[in-house]
Amino acid sequence: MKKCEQLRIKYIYFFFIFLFVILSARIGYLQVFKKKFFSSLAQSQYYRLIPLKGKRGKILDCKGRILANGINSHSIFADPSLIGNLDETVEVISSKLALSKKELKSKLQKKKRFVWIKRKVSWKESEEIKLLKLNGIMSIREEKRFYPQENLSFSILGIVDIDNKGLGGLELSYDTYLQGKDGLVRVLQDASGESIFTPLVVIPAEGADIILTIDSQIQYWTENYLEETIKKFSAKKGSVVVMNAHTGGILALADYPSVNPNQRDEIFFGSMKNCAIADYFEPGSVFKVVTLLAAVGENKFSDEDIIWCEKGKFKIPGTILHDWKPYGELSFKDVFKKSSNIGVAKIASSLGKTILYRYIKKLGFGEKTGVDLPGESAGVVKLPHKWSKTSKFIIPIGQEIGVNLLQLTRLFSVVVNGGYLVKPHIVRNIRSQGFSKEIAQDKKRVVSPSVAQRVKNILIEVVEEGTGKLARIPGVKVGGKTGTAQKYDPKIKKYSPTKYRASFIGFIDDYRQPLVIGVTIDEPMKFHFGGVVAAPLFKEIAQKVVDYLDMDVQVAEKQEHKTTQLGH
Amino acid sequence: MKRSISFTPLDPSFKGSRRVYPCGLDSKFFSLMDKHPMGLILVVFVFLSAFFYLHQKVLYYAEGYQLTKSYHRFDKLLDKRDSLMYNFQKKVSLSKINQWTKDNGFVFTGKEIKLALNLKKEESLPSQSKLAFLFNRFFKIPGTPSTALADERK
Repeated sequence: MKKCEQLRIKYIYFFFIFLFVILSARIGYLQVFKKKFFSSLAQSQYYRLIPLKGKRGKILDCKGRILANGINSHSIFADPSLIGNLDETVEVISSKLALSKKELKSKLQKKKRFVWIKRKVSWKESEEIKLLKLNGIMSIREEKRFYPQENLSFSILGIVDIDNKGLGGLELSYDTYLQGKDGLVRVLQDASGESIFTPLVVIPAEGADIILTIDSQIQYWTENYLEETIKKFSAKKGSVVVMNAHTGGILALADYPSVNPNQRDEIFFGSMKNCAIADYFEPGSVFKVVTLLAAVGENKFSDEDIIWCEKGKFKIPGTILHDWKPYGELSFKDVFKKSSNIGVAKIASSLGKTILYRYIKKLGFGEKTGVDLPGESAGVVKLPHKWSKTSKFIIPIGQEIGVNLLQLTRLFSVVVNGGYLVKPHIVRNIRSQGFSKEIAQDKKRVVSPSVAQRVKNILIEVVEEGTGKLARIPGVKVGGKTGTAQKYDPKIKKYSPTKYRASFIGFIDDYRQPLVIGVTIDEPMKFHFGGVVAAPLFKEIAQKVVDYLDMDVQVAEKQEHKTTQLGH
Repeated sequence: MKRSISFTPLDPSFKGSRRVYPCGLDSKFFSLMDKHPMGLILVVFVFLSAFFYLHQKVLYYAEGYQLTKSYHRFDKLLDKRDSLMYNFQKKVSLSKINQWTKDNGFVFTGKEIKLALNLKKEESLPSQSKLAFLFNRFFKIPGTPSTALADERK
């Protein structure tokens, strides 16, 4: 070969080597220095992170019955860009899901890639939609909150919104505990778009379960009898509280009217308000127990002391005080047994407003009880320097003061449990995997046991011989106080002659678990006395509760044994 | 003992000896492998490793598909169970149970109910027939036949 030919071959040889080196360098640069960038780009195309929703915790009553739970449901959505025949799709979907055709069509005509059609449909509906295999119509799994007991305890439980966040009641106040923690799973997406689960998963955590002090059976009876009473007297509304006087645990808290939280369209504005804690009102004669406690606590009166009740008419600064029946001389005990306004006003006046105000505050009025439900009102208590000359006579008889039913119930628990002011609560325990929190009981002594005992005995006589006779239960020692309060009418700017609030707060004297039952009925029509409207409701509930809880009540009379003849 | 078969080589310039392998094939490749056995082992090893690695990968994805399928089936069963529980719990709410007890007059027994049984006094058998009865029972001596036997006969 000639030299020049050999040289040419060498040049070509070196040229290709040079190209090879450049290519190798480029490949090396891409694969070594740019490795992270390209591998993450590739991974982002075929790996996806899918959130896994943590299940919301359950709400159970004290016996373990489920009051609120989550179930799996499906929500139907659409990708309007993928829909084939719009009219046919609208026709089919609207008939299957009972939706308006016009609204559905306008939704599917939007220039969006994601549009909700219907959230949280039943399993049957979702299966029917899946079988249709319509283009652009898909479903996603979501948790739906379900209340198996329907209307029962609605005012306590509250509801959640469409995204399972608490809106009222316990669902709101314990939302942080009930909410589950979301997890994650990495999925591989193949060429056909199907996802393959990988072992890389952050397991979602379930929300904590809440165990209540509520007993659903007692709650049922309470709600049932309350509804009957309200319908019987054509009242506007009413509330009942059943509370353990030792612990403050609430066994039942009923409001009327109530709604079924599973039927969203039944829920109206204001239906979630818990009237037993949110509404404050002038309590009337029920509030006389504060004066009684103050008088006994200050040791200013003995049971036999005589008070002149002015024959039913007593002139006080600004107005004339009346009794429901004209009384002359009454003993200290009889003033409360017969619920004399004049007698109580005179007793309170002799105590003075300082002592009275001290006892009102000591017994928890004018501040929230601290119950674990949202929307509680503190009530209204005028400061002593704002009391008028009339106030010192009429505040003790339950006017010019605003209290809620729970505060009144708590007042009576002081009498029954030996002088302790308890903190009412509805939640007993919060329980989760590897975690359990018992709600601590909170109480403080406000009166001595002897004072509480003496007041209790007087209140027992109120039922046995006084205005609360309709609350008497044969064989069971009960006590209480009736209340009939005129309501202030802002239209006529004075107390209404026709609108009343009838109340009865009573207790069942059991040494193991004394119960206090507070009843209040707003604007009963046919009769308005607490002893006629509210006391019988107390009796019905108390009778059921005594048998149900197998209470070892102090027997007032000899019990008659029932005998049953068999065979004929 | 290696057999050597002599034959006329195709290439007249070839002067060396050739080994014939048991398969009867005359191959340069095999001769090369014969000279470098480690090379063959390496190639086979690499091939097998790559093959098993690929097999493992495919299995992994196949299991992934299976797992996803199982998840979907599990989810479907859960949904069905929840739907059934929903339907069931709706019908056995406390309100419905209490209503049923009220409608059917179902009353729980109280804790202190005395039962008075109205028992008729049995007529005592005359002593003679008692004895006969006993004899009849134990020694199978015919006496006054018992009503039980009489009933059985009937």
